[in-house]
Amino acid sequence: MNDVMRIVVKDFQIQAKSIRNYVIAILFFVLIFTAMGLGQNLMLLPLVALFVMYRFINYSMYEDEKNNTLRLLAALPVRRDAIVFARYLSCGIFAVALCIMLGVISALVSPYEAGSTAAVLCVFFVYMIMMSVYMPIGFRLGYIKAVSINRFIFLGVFILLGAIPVLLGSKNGMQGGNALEGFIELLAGSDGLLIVAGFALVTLLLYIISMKISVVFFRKRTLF
Amino acid sequence: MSMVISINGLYKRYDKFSLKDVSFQVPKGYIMGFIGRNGAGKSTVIKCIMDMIPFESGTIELFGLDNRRFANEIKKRVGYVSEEQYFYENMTAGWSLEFFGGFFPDWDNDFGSSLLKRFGIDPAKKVSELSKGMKVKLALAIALGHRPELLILDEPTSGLDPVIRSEILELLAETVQDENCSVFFSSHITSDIEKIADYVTLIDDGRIILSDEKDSIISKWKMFKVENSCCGEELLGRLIGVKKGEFGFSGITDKPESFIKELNRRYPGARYKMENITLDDLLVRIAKESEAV
Repeated sequence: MNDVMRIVVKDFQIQAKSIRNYVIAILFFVLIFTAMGLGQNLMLLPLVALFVMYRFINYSMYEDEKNNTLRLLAALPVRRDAIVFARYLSCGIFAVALCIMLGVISALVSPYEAGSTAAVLCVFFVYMIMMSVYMPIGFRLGYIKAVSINRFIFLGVFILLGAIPVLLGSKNGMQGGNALEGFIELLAGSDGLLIVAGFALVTLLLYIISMKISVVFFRKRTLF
Repeated sequence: MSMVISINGLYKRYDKFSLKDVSFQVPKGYIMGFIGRNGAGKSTVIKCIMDMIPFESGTIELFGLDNRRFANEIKKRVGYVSEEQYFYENMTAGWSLEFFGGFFPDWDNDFGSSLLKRFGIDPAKKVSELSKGMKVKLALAIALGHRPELLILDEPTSGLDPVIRSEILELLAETVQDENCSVFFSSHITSDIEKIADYVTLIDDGRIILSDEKDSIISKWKMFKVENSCCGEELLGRLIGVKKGEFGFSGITDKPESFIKELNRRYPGARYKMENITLDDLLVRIAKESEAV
């Protein structure tokens, strides 16, 4: 196993209990909503998933910060680039896995709801943007400072996300609701596929640029 | 004699402390003790060696390779134990051994596990449940599990009880019996260094005060206790770390013959005592001298 994969596996191993609990919680909500005949409320699940994904990044950073394990890794034959790549990869894999799980649930529970698939995609894109913003700050300043700074940044991002659908909605005749709902409606619309492809490209680009910036920041960071 | 560590003219500046022109060498197959009081610069030098912190000027070579250009290649051949042990506290000792050890291409998991067993560490036990001494032993198992050519230890025995310290020292002595392995071992506990080191380097206030064979240091440096009637400035200037008492003064020097000659010339018939010193005396006197300056 190479160094990157070793660290990726570690990120999952140290959070194994939390991941299991989150999956159980999500499945529990699905069962409750379905049993109560509230299939449409499954739209809420992606929001829960967004929280879970954000928690995954936070926890993996927090564990390294709390235990000072980056210091030990710095003393081992591990390139700093590998540590950064691994963090991006583990968070990406977790997001994809969670989104697939939600996609499968959506398909099983409400197969004809285009909105639920759009909601999953929307959450995935939002998460990728959040991660791309958060990670470089985390690698530059460490978890504790990054988490405080990110609160302000994410507030701005959500305000922005709220504004975009409103602006786009006025063009398409769509009334923008809150940030995510507007975005979901946009992705589920008639030009959905094209918009999804566009967003996928933008988020991928952002993800790669963010990773490069994180590598530069982390190489320069003094861990001692 | 080939050198595993070679440092020349190392400078590292912080706001309130700096390493100044640090130069010394560690020969292959020996244990070098790196002594100095707290804050003298031991850990800073070690972090520079391990390429964990940048430095302004100077060169550091390990196995003849530049430590910054070949950092990864070098780290594959080095086992390192820091003063504080950093592990994922919620994971087990066995997991930690495999995870951290796995980064070394020559990692021998059976040997690593046998070291855990020898140290009495239950692999199923969480790191958070291990004592400080056990954590040091776990770190040592990780450092030794790939059979390194060089072991760098940054105050590993600090804060441990004498029994565990003694066990760790025994292990280090065993490690260098294999002549391919050298040990660079920092500590402010001079008795530990005195027990196992072949060479000693003493650092104070960011400067290397001396670096030589331990036996040579101990035989060269002498403690003089002289009566107060001989307390002339010209004589005191020849001693380091002078302490004055009610009846006399004492100090150390690495030129005992020259001191005796001068004492007899200036104060014929003066009464004095010349004694062997310990590394502890040396450290204390040199620290006292630098405080006086």
